[in-house]
Amino acid sequence: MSVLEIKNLRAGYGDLVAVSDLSFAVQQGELFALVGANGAGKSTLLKSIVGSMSVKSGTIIFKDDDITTVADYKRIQAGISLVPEGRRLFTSLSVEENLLVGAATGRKGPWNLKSIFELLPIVEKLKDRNAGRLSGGEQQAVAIGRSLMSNPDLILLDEISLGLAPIVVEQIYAALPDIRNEGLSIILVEQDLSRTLKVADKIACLLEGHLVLEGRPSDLTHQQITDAYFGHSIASFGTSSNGANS
Amino acid sequence: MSSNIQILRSPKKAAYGSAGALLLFVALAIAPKILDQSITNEWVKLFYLVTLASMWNLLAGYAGMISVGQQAFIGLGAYGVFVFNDHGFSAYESGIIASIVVGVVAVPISFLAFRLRGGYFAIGTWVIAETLRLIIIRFPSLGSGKGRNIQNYTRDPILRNTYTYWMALGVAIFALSACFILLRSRFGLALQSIRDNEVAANSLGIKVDFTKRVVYVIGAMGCAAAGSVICIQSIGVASPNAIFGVSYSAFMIFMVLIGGIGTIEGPVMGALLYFFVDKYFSQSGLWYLVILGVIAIIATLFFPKGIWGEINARWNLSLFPVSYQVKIENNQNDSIHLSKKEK
Repeated sequence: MSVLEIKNLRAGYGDLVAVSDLSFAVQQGELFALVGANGAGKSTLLKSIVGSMSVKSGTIIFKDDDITTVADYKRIQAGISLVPEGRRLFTSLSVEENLLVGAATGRKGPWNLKSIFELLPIVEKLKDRNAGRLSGGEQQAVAIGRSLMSNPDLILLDEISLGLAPIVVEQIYAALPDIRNEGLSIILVEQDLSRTLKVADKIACLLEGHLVLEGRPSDLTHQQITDAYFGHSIASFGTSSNGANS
Repeated sequence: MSSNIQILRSPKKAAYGSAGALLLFVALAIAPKILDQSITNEWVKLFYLVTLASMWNLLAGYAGMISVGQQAFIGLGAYGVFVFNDHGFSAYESGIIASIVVGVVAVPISFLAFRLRGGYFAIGTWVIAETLRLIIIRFPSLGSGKGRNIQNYTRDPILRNTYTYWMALGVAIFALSACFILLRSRFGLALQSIRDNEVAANSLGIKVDFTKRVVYVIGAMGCAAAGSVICIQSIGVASPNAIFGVSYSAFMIFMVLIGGIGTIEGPVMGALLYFFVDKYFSQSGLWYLVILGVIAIIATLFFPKGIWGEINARWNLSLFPVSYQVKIENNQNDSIHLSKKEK
C-alpha cells in the first residue's frame, strides 16, 4: 500500500525548474532513500511534499488523498513530518520543550516521550539542557525525536548526516530500522551513498531534477548507482529492467 | 519495573507568584481610599508603562516580532476614546470599546505588516503608525491635528482620579494575566518555537501566521488600552504627534531590554526603573536622556539579559514560570502514561 505517491511533479523557484516530471511511490513501512548531488532537486522535492513550496504541476497523493494544494500545516497534521536540513532546533527552549513542540499536532500513536527516550537514550540524558548548547549530533538526535513526537505516518529526513562526526551518524542510522519497524515510512535524503545503501529498502537517484534511477539496492550495482549519481551513462538506465526513468 | 513520565509546570512557584500578585492587586486596588491622590495619580503612569512594556515583550520577547510601530495602537486607542465618548459612552466605557475595536483594526493591518520580516517589519510598523497619524489628523471632529479634549467627563476630580487609577490598574493586571495565561498554554510553547525558528515551527504543523496574528492583535489591544488611559488621565490629547510618537516605542524597548526580555517579570522591573528615572530626572533637561543612555549602556555591558534575566540566571528565581519540565519516575506499575497534569 502506497503512503505517498508523486505523479509527474514539476516544481522550482520562479522560472527555474528544480524537479521535472518526477514520479515515484513510497510504500508503508518502507525506507525510501533519495540520493543525488548538490542541486539535484532533493530539497525542492521535500519542500513540495511538506507544502512549504507550491508545485508548478503534477500531483502529490498522501494516504489516498490529493494534498497537492493543501496548506502546509494541514499536511503535518495529516501525518507528514520533516526533519529539516541543519536541524533547526528551538535554541532558547530546553530539549524536553523541543520535544513537546513536536507533539503540537496532537496526533495519537506509538511515539511519546518514553518511547523517544528508549529509542534515543542520549535525548533522555539531555532533556534538561538548552537545545542551543548541544553538539551537532545531539541536536540531530533531538530533531528526529521532535519529529517523531508528531506521530507521523511519513517522516522526511533531510541530510541528517551533514556536518556530523561519523560515530554520531552511525548511532543515528542505527535507530532508523527501529523507526521503520513501527510501521512508519521514511524518505531519507542523503549524499552519503555507502551508508544509505546499507539501510534503504529502495533507492532513487535524482540528477538535475530528473529521476534517473530507482530500485532495490540489492538489484542495483554500485557502478549503476554512482554513474546515476554523477550523471555518467544516463542513457543506459533508461531501458533498465528495474523501472528506472531517463 | 517501568517509568512514569510527567510534564510539570512549576505549579508551586506559579501558585506562590499568583497568590502574591493577587495580594498586591488587592492592596493597589484599595490604595486610592488610603493614600493621597497625588501619589496614586503618579501610579497611573506606572501602570500604563507596565502594560506597554508587557505588550512589547509579548510581541518581541516571545513571538520575535520587533515592532517600532506600537504607537499606532496607542494613538488609535486614545482617539477612539473621543469617538465613542462623542456617541454617548462614558470616557471609561469608550476606552474599553476603543481597545476592542483597535484589536479588530489590527487584523487587516497584520496582513500588511506580516509581508515583511526582521528589520523590514520593524520599519514597516513605524510607517504604518505614521500613516495612521496622517489619516487621523484629517478629521475635524478629532481636532484636525491640534489635539482635543474629552467632552463628556465627570467634573468631580476625586471620582475622576479614582476611576482612572482603577482603569489603569485593571488594564495592567489584565495585560500581565493575559501574557501569563497565554504563555503557560500550549500556545505559548508554539509562540516561542516560532520566535526561535519559523521554518522549523512550520514543519511541525504550527500555524505560524495565525499564532503571530493572535499575538499581534493582543499587543494592539493592550497598547490601545494604555493609549486610552493616557488620554483619560490627561482629559484629552495635546497633539497627535505626541500620542503617535515613536518615543513610545523607544521607551517600550528600553523598559523590556533593561528589565529582561522574554520573561513575565522583566518588563515590570523595567517599567519600575523607567518610572523612577522619569519621576526624578524628567525635569533635568538633557541630563534626563544622558541618564537613560548610561543605564542602557551599563545594562548592555553588565546585564545583557536584563535585571530579571540576571536574577533568574543566578538564583533560578521565577515568580511566573512558563517553562515545561519532564519528570521521570521509576516504579513497579507497568501502565505507562504521559500526562499533562500538574503535580
